[in-house]
Amino acid sequence: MVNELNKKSKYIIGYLYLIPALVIFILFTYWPAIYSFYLSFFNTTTSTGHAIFVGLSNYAYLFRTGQLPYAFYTAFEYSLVRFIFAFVISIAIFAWVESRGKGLLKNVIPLLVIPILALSLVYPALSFWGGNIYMILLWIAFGVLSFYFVKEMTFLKSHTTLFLLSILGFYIVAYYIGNRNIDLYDLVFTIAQNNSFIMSIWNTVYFVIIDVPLTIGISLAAGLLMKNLPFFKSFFRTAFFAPYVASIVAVSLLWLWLFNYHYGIFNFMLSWFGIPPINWLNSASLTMPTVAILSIWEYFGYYGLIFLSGLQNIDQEYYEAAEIEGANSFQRFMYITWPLLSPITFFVMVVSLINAFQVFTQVYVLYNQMPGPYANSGLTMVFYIYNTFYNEQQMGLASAAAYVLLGIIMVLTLIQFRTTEKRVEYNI
Amino acid sequence: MKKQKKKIIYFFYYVAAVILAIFAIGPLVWMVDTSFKTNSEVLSYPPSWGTINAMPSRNLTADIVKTRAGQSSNPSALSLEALLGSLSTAQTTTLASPDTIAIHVLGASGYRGTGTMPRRGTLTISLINNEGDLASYPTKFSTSDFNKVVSEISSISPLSNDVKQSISNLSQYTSDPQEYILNFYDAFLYGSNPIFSRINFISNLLNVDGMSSFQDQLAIFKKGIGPLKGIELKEISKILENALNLTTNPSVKAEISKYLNDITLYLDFDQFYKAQKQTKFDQPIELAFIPKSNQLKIVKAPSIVESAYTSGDQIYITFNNTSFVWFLNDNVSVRANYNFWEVLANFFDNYVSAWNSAPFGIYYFNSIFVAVATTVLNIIFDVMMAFAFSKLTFPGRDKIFMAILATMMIPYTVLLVANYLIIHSLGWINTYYALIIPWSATAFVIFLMRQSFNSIPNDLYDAAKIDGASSWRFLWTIAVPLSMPVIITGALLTFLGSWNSFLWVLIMTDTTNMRTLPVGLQNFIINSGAIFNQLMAAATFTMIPVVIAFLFFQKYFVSGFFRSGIK
Repeated sequence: MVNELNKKSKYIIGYLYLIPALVIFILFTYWPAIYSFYLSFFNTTTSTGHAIFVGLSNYAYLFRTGQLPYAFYTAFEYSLVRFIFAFVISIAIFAWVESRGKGLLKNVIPLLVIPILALSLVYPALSFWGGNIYMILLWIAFGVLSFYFVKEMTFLKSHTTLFLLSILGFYIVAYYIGNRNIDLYDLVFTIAQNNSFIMSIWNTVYFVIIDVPLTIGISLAAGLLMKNLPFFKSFFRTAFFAPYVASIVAVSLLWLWLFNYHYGIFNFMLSWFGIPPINWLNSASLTMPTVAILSIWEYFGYYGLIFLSGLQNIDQEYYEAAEIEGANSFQRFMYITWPLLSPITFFVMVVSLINAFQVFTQVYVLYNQMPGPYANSGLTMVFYIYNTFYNEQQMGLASAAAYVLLGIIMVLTLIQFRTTEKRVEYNI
Repeated sequence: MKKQKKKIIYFFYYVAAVILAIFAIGPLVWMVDTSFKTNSEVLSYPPSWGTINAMPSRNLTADIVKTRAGQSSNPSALSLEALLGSLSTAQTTTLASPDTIAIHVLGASGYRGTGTMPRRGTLTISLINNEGDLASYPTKFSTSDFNKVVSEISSISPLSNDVKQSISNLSQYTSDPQEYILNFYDAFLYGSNPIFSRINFISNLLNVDGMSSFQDQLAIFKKGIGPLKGIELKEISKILENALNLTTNPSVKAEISKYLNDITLYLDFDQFYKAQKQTKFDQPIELAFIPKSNQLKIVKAPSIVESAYTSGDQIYITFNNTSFVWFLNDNVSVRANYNFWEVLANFFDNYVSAWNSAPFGIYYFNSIFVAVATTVLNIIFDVMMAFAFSKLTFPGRDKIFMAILATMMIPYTVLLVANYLIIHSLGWINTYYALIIPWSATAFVIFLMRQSFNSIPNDLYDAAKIDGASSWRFLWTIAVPLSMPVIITGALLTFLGSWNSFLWVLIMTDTTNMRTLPVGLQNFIINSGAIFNQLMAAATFTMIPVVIAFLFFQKYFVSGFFRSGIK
């Protein structure tokens, strides 16, 4: 009985420790998360002052496409042909790599590879009739056929990213060598011109694609350098981390000055190489890259430090063993550092992706509270949410947009979890 | 052999590290550098590293104001009534005494556009004549000579129409020699459409029939700055005499002689004007700024200098009974000298002006208060929660921990709208609560601390319990000191997050009194325009506390990261 009471009071003490922080989390994280979701089904800008239940129409409004210049399926058709072309070629290449030195697939793969390569040579001519239904059926048949082989290919499974990159690469190739008519890309871009929310997704994704890989690459390099340098370690550590300490407003202000068209140091440095000055801050196509440069600069030291802490935690014995085996530094990186670092890489990937999707302040300061110099070229998702909520006072619509952002982040994080699940090695 | 290879590899490592370090701190160095520069140095191309603000002296580009219209009066020498009058009628009234010369300072040398004069130090002003010597002024002005020269030039004819017109206009001033001289030079050289304006005078000359053969000789005079100088006029008159001899056409002859007479008239008068200036300045004028006053103290000056003051970017020097018209053709050189403290003041000038042009004091206080409060609450709450997750047992512990960890995946921008409504309904908009309370627990810090507490052996906790220590006491006297690096890391991260938070503060507050530095800085950017030296100064001083905090705690910070072993 006493023991029972004692146990209960122990539990209560445990919960008491949680209370302050938990209250804050409930009040300012969990409850708002639910409340936003609820709000996203209401229209809050009514003259009556009451929120009116509107169902999914906030979401529908966000993704309205307006009048399209051409049919969706035409664009889709072209894209599909290109995609299957890229897919088939990539499979063929991976199959060829796979079949080297293996008896099992040796006989089957060439059967697939040769006709595909032959077909791809005539692709430019064939794609001339891009709209031809037989053409599409033929390509789909090849796609299905090659997909059948994917199941048996282990090399492909262990190099998913490479495979996706290869598809992307061949897609671009297909776009340029074939009949450059229309593409899903053009369609989405056209829709984005008319719909500022789709524009904001477009810009944000563009930013993330530039920002995240470069940030990870540079911060990994910074982490490796900080670990391997024999002298001045702490100097470089301080130097790399310094930008992170400054506030984004101050940093954006600083880069506003560095990017200045007439007197900025960047255009001056370009002039050393005879490059004419670039209008960094007043060009729609350079808006997101400019913001990305700034963001990479701001955050690479922070992520570098996280990489460094991961590197420090790798057991030195692995390297000593590798040295005895005669592994060179590249091999040591590829077979020890990279696999053992994968949990950190994964962490940095997730965190930097989440951060990158929330880009806002840089644009706000660099472009004087406007979403880019013109044509909404700097309208990011958070900017859209901020604008809808703060300037237009449409809480419901802003919540819906926020939930779309959350959805995108969640889906991408899940994909990252799934794709890296097998490869992240948690055995440090 | 192998050692050699290793050396090469290290060499490349260092090259890469240096490049990356330049990429990282180069912009920050440039920011601090820019913050010390003058306006003119910021807007100069190519950019340079140094700044004249660090120099003990500098040359200021300056002009003598050649008309009286722009002069405003010496406010201290006016009656209150006159002062009010001059204020209400803008700058059009010319109340200045004719004995006051106005010097327009264009700023530091090499500057184009309006400049600001540093209002400290001493100014050495030298009036210099065209030969490069110190200028001279008349001590014995003879009115009879003046009358003689006026009647002399009035008798010259024929003259070109412009000159004829001007001379007849001037005749109204014959009783007032100074006014006559001023208007004479105004008409010929310095007015809005002067007779001896380079392009017009030469073009008019070339339009005369028969002069086109002198095209080559005359066109040279079109090049140059300002109106035609005395020497040039003499050369032109020689060419004209030559032309006069060559032509036979009487109408052309008459036309040319008109121009020739114009020049002769001017040179005659100029001769008289120069002859009057007999006494040379024996030394330059040295003036010192008086703090918070527009009067200038005369440090060292020739005896005729009576007083001096400044207004806007002009310096006014009043002479004793000597009109400013006697320095119309002179140049001025202004050199500013500063002692050590004044150099220091110049150096940090942008910081002072930036600080004063927005309520940065309030922003600073708010930032420090909010960041410190957030950090303290964070440490307390996070330590408690992390300790419970690590060392205490109760049902659902790990599930709650996972739920807390999951919040790291939810971006706070997604919750902004709902949070605004919640804080609004709590009545916290525009209060410190809105800036502090929602941020007083951080999932990432809880995670870091839990990792750290996990590394404390459970035996230690059990031993403490047996000794009669409560879990609360164990936490604060043993567990926390043992995980100091991680706690400092957590504190720095939350401090940094709070200090740099922007969107949240922007939305949750709307008055100056509640805003923190990032939002204040953003307002300053919007309001001040593109004065990049002051903007950089403001950016620099918003960073200073966090930079100091980081440098001070850096060691713990790094080891805290390692210790936590993010896995």
